[in-house]
Amino acid sequence: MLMRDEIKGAIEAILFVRTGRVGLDEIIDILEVPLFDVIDIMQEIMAEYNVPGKGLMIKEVNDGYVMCSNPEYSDYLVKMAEPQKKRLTPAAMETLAIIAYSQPITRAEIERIRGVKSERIIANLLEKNLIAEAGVKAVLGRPTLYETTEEFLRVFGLVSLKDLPPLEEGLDVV
Amino acid sequence: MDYVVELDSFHGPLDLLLYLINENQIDIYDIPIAAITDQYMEYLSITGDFDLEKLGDFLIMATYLLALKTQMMLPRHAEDEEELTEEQDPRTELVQRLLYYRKFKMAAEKLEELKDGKIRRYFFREDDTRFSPPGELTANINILTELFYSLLKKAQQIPRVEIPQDDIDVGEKMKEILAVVRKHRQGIFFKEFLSGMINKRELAASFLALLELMRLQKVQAVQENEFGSIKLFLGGRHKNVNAG
Repeated sequence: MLMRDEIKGAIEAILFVRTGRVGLDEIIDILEVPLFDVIDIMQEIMAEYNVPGKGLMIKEVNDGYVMCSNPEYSDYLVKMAEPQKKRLTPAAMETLAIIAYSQPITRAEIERIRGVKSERIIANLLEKNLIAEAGVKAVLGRPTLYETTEEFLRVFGLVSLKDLPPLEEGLDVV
Repeated sequence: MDYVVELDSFHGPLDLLLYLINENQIDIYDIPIAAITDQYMEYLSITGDFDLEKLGDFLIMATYLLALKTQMMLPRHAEDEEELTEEQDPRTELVQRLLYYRKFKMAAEKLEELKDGKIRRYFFREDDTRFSPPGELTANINILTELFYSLLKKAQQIPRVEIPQDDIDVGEKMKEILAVVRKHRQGIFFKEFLSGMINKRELAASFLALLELMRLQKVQAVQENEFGSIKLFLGGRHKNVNAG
């Protein structure tokens, strides 16, 4: 049985090595430590990490954890970010925003909001791996649903969709 | 209109309408439909050579606006002279659509700022493997040899047919390979190049030609996984395959 400090260290190492989310179930599998202990230890690690001034943070997301930078330093990290390969046209951004805030959503629904055919833009977003197909909607014609991907979260610096900036006041998505 | 903004710069009819409303400093809840419709139509009349498919979306809105304009002009009963309730106002649907669209237009701007770090954001470790090029075939000649033997076997299985014995030379094959590789900028499988060749001597010549081209670094042979198909690229070019 690992010592508590060793478990903490191991989890820290695992989170560092993985570029994305590490599932709670994975940690349990790898370290062979009971769920209860892992959750308890994670609370402790996060309390140590998530304090002002630290460079790194550990965030909880979908029954897992992800290591990321402290937003306090985003001004500096922007400067080192690689030149934007994924510049999107305003029309593509608009479409992506609709998908991000209303997912899962069909093409027809997107087009109703935009008032414009959006097939090509959707194909482009799919190709850039910013959105993905998310099954079909159970309505006539069974149209494809779209949702945003993990790549989307990465590109826009979000830990989860909960971090999306709030929409204009008083106008909830229907 | 004092100056003209190209129709092309609007993402759609709603975008154009929002622009007009903004330009004229109109209250979005009380749009003078007649005036806005006239301005909108004016925009459509000066499109020049505008993408026909896109124009269709603008025209649908034009029809809708004209219908709305007519509706607004119809005389109302005296009892309705007072303020219209929201339900009675034919503009309600348009206003809702405009507001809804505007919300996402603003959200898109927010997302852009987020991406560019104008709003504080998280950063994640960069995953280098996402962009790593397929493993380059350098020293392992065995795979090429194996492929060659398998093709030889296949060639033997094909019933023998007398083929005019034109002399096939390696130089000629090198030129052919180069030509094909130049044509297929995204790479071409060696198998594909060899397909259709049933003559042993021709296969041998192609094989030798490829080896020579690799030695001269005019062609890069890339194999995405062990025992996988061999893909040919123009020399040095494969490094950009994933970046592009």
